[in-house]
Amino acid sequence: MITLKKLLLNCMMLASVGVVFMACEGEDGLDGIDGVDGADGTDGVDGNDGGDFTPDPGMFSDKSNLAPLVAMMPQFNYVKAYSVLSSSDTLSNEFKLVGAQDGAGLLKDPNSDGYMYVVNAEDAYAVSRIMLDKNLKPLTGEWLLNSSVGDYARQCSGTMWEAAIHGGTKDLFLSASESINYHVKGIDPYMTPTPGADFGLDALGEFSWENAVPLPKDAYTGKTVIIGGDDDSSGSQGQVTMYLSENGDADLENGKIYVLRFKEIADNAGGKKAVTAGTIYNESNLDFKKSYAVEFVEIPNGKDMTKDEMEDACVAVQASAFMRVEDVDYQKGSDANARNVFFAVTGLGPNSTSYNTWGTVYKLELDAADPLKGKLTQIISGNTTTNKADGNVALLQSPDNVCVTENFLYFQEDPNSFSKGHSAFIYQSDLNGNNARPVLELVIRQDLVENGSTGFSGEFGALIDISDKVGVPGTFMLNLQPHYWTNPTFKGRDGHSFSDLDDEDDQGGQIVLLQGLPR
Amino acid sequence: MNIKIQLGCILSLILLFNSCKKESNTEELEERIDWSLAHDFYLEKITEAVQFLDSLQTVEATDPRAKTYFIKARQAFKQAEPFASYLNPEVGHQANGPALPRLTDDTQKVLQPIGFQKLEESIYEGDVLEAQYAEELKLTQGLLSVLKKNIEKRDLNAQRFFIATHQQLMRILSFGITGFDTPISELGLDETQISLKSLSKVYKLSLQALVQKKDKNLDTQFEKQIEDAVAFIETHKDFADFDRYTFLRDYFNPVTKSWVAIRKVSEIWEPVTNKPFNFEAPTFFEKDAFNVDFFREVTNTNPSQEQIALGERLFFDTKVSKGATMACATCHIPEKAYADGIQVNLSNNGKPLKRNTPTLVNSIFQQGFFWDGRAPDMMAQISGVFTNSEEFDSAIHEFSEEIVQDSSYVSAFKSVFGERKWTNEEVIKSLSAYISTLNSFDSKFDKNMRGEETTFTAEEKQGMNLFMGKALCATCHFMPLTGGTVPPFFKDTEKEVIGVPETPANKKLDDDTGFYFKYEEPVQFGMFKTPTVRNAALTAPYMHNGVYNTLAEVMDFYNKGGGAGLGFNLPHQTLPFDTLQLTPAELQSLVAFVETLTALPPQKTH
Repeated sequence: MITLKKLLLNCMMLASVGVVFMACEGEDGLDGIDGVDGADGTDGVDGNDGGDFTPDPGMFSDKSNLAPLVAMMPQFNYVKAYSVLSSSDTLSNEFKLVGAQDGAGLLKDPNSDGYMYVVNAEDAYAVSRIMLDKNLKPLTGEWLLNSSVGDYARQCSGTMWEAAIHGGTKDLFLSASESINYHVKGIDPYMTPTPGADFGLDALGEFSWENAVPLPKDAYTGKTVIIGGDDDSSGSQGQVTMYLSENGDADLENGKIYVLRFKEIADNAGGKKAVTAGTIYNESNLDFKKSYAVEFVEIPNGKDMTKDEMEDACVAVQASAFMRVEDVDYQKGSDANARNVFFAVTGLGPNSTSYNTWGTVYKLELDAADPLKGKLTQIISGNTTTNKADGNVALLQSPDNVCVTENFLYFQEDPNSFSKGHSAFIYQSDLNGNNARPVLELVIRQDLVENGSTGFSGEFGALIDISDKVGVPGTFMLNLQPHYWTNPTFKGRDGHSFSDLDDEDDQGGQIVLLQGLPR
Repeated sequence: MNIKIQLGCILSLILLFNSCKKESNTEELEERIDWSLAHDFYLEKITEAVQFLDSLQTVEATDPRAKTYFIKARQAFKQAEPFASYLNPEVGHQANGPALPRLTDDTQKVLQPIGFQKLEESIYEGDVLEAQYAEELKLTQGLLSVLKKNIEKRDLNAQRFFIATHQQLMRILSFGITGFDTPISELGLDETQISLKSLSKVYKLSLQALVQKKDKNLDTQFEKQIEDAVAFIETHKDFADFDRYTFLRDYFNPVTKSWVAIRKVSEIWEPVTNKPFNFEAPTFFEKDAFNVDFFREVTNTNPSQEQIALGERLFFDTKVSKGATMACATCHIPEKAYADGIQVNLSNNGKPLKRNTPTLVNSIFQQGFFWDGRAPDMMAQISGVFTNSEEFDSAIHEFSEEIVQDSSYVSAFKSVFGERKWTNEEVIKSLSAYISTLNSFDSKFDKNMRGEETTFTAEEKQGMNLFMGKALCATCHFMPLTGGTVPPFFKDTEKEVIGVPETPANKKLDDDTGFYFKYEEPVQFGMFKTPTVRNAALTAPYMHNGVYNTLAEVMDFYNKGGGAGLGFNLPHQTLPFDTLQLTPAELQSLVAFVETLTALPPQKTH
């Protein structure tokens, strides 16, 4: 049955490739230069078919009917943004994008010279696959997961496990659920859609999953290492988790679950001291920009635990607490670099008087010989006047997604309440958190608001570096969640049964392409 | 199968046998309990619940059969609920939680209510769009399917069983007999019978044989108590008139006592100490029925006596604040039930503060602090007092010079926190440790519930029955703590929109918008945390703004339907808008009951 479906899908893909070729006839026209080659030139009939000839706008152009909803900061005026797809567009198979676009991965389409983009729609509880041509022009889209399962699990960040990078033989989209099912879903990006399926990767354990990020296969040869963020503010609060298997570089079934624990804390006099056994510490016990030894401790039988049991187990092993761990990424460029992991902690927002108000970003340098050891440094903090008042980015409001390249850290805001008075920013810093400055901001368009008026509202989803895939350095895809952009026609697009009810999410979303962002 | 694998299997089997031998006595005993029958029972019931929702989908909401299917689905769910909701509290509570919209903390998305209680509204009150109802049904079914998957995936064992059954007993007390579960259909008493009977059922399917061997009388007694409790409900099955005082004291508490005894004689599980309950307490009304450590912040659990004593000293010391202007005890006065008896207290420069001083007694049993619930735990609450420029006006990383200069403090800090440069964080940990001990469950109510005395007057009994019944108080002030921390998980403290007026004349809505400041979501306009009612007799004036001077005025406010009932424009009020239609005598009896909830912790040496 599955084979039949696959066959059908392949046929459909072939068919769409056919369409591409037909549509590209104009491009052959470009070969008009060849026209000097007299033989072609005489082919007068083709020459008359001038109506079909449109100069190919190429990869770096707006493909959506809506201009990109980001504005570059003056210091980044050399970076260009183009819109790829918006909720106002309709693709050839009637696919329409929904809002709250979050985690994503890009793969080459094995059946064409184009690509496929797999992306979480957080507030629609869904995952879509969008087929793109070689210039990243969206062609068709479909739903790999939709909310018809009654699952209601928000799919937050996600990461594409790419066999070529992470090991094994299969690509797999790791889509993180932070509610209802609390698991990481492993979705075959090439599958014939079965949007009601379970997809749970039980061995990774139940957490309030924000993202599950596999390290490249030779960061630890022969081992599978997946770092996760537990986006939780209650009980044991947020943990940094690790799934580790010694059974090869692509074992998602028989590994063990670990959580991060400090071995040292600040002595509040600028130095460090060893932790007291049996005590639980949180990020307030670390000084900004100081490095502390940390370890990952095992949660025995973690895969058999419910989310609450996991929380109790984290307390039992004195896992260190963070105020909602968000996205995770690792440094690119080499296997050694990949052992430098970065994660964002969003904080609890103003007036909650928590130990982390405006958010922090950490650098976790894992030991080359043993992934269970490392050192941890808080390199970014928005707490310049709050908490210890030792932060370095006064503008920062609640970092959420992160993207790390070979040389830079990009961290992206999800401001829960906009008390610092600006729309969501993406910042760039070096890999030690120095020289942090805003790269771009989310554009708030009053004309897209139903009643014509909104304050700041919206956040970012995934920012992924696709330079190697498309062969153009400095090329990134970025997901936008302009929460202010709502429209009743955006409801129920993921193909489940309720389309016009109040409860259905009515946000619009957008995917943009960035050209020339430094790596 | 190749030989190598076979050999491996045999080897691992041998290893398994070897390791079995080494296992402790407890585990060996557990080995003898076959949990699969009880597990299958839970699975069968959740499956039934899903099937009755299937049936419900075949008829319209107005069809008389809808009620029948709804009731049957609920009854099946009630029997699966202990294990299902243990495994997935969030989904369990959504499937059977209040029919109110929720705002998600992290995405600020307003989620419309789904689950049984929303279906109940649609079926019993009607007036729902067909498509809306279809969606409610479908999503409720989705939630139950998730729970069914959870049960399929997870084994039952002694720990899960005893925690789950304890939670369900708590639900009977907090939700079943109070009408929280079934506010419109008032099926709570029927469902209490079902919950009790299914406890007996799962007992028979698992532990009974063992208990019969060890203590035959206990087995017989437990069965009899369940029968008696079920029979008592049967003969008094009227929600408005149900005698909760007698039921709890004479029928329900004996069941929980025996259940604890059964757990003890079965000797198959050593209770954990990280749950809200003290599993050794024979009823929910004991002095130590709740586990304080569960409610403390994980970074500050199990404080030493020394740390508590340090906290007590700091509590009364103005040196903790900048310029030594205020101490905790400036507003939280022990003689005034750790409140202050005035509408609002004064700031460090003599100006009126924004809100009324709440009592600290039993305050640890909350997951939201300050009147607007913005602080997630007690340490965050105290931090908020330090950083408030109108109160202590001191940053967390600072430390009072005057404390540093006091050698007796220095030695106490050294002894509790070790050699380290101390900051206000250590001060806050100490204060939090002390305040978490300011608890008391020795009120007239508790003593009567425990059977230590039989002193409740007819009026107090009537007041209790109203509080837990017709007057709907206990649907927000959950029994027995009477605060907004939601049983049986106690991981969340509810906030409500009730529409408190600016003055006792009840003419104008108060301008304090409460938790609305945080996300500016209309559904949270004027939202405040549900505080405890315990010690209310000592903590006038009342409400976040101290507007009412007497409990009679408070009861009158609720009886009139809160702010919306007073005519304020409050579309998102979470109280019923209409009057409760309580008579003056009933209102007076409610006051009399609240006055039985007085109990202060013994004052220490200070």
